[in-house]
Amino acid sequence: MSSVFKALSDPTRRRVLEMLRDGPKSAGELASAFDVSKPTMSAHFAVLRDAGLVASEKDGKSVFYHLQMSVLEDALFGFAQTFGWERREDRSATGRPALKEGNP
Amino acid sequence: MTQSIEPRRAVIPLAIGVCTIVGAMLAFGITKKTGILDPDLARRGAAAMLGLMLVVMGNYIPKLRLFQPAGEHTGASAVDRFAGWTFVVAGLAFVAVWLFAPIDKAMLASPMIGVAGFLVAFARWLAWGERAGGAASILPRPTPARTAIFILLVSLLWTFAIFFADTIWGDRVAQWMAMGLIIIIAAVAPFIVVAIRRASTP
Repeated sequence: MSSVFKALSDPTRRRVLEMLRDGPKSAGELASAFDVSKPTMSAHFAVLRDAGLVASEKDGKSVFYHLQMSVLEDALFGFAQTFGWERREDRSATGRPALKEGNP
Repeated sequence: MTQSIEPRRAVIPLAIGVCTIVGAMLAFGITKKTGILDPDLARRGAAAMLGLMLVVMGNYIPKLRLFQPAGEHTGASAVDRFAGWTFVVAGLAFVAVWLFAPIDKAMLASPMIGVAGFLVAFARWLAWGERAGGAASILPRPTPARTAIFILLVSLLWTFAIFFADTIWGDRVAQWMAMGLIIIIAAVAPFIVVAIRRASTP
């Protein structure tokens, strides 16, 4: 369960989950929506996959992601979205979110 | 797009959850028969377990993508999510009724809540099928976990029907209905096994 909390604590990963609500999307399609490097995005995907919140399927050279959240995880996601839930180490000294590249 | 395999992290906790609930129901039954628990309390406990079963299964429906059709289809996860939430809410309402309402009222209200949950989820699935060109085009691909959860859901729906029958016609009809379900499941089991084997053959 801690992997789920970790995955949901990051705003970028939550945005990825939000995008996947509309249906499966390719890794490239998802990455293009963010201003971060490919390795950072891959690390975010890995965290989501490890938590079991998304699943990936290979189609030729593309990797497609789709949501795989239980109702409880979906509720936790909604809770995190509403209250801007973040990990302590993701916050800067001012208490604002720290969206650092390379720190998924 | 290739079909994803069933997530093991959903199948194992689902199996543990279902077995625990069935065990708890049996325990309530035994405590009622042996007189350890007050019969009404044991009855409430056993019935609440049915609602809990609906909650547990509803929770994992989106993870197992119960309604994912055989071919590629966008929107499958939306139907799964809707059905999952519907079953969880219906299950919680079912439990609440058995915990707080008088037994005679709970006996009638709880199956109504359960059946309503099934009807709402089924209507959403049919509406989706209507847009996709008929229900046949969105028939889910049979896999062992999906089949198991489907049989459990059908059994729950039948149990709600038994609750109605017990209230309206009495114990005898309810007992025959319970036996009938076992016979029907035994009769269709070979066909289900064949369908799963056929679906898993590349």
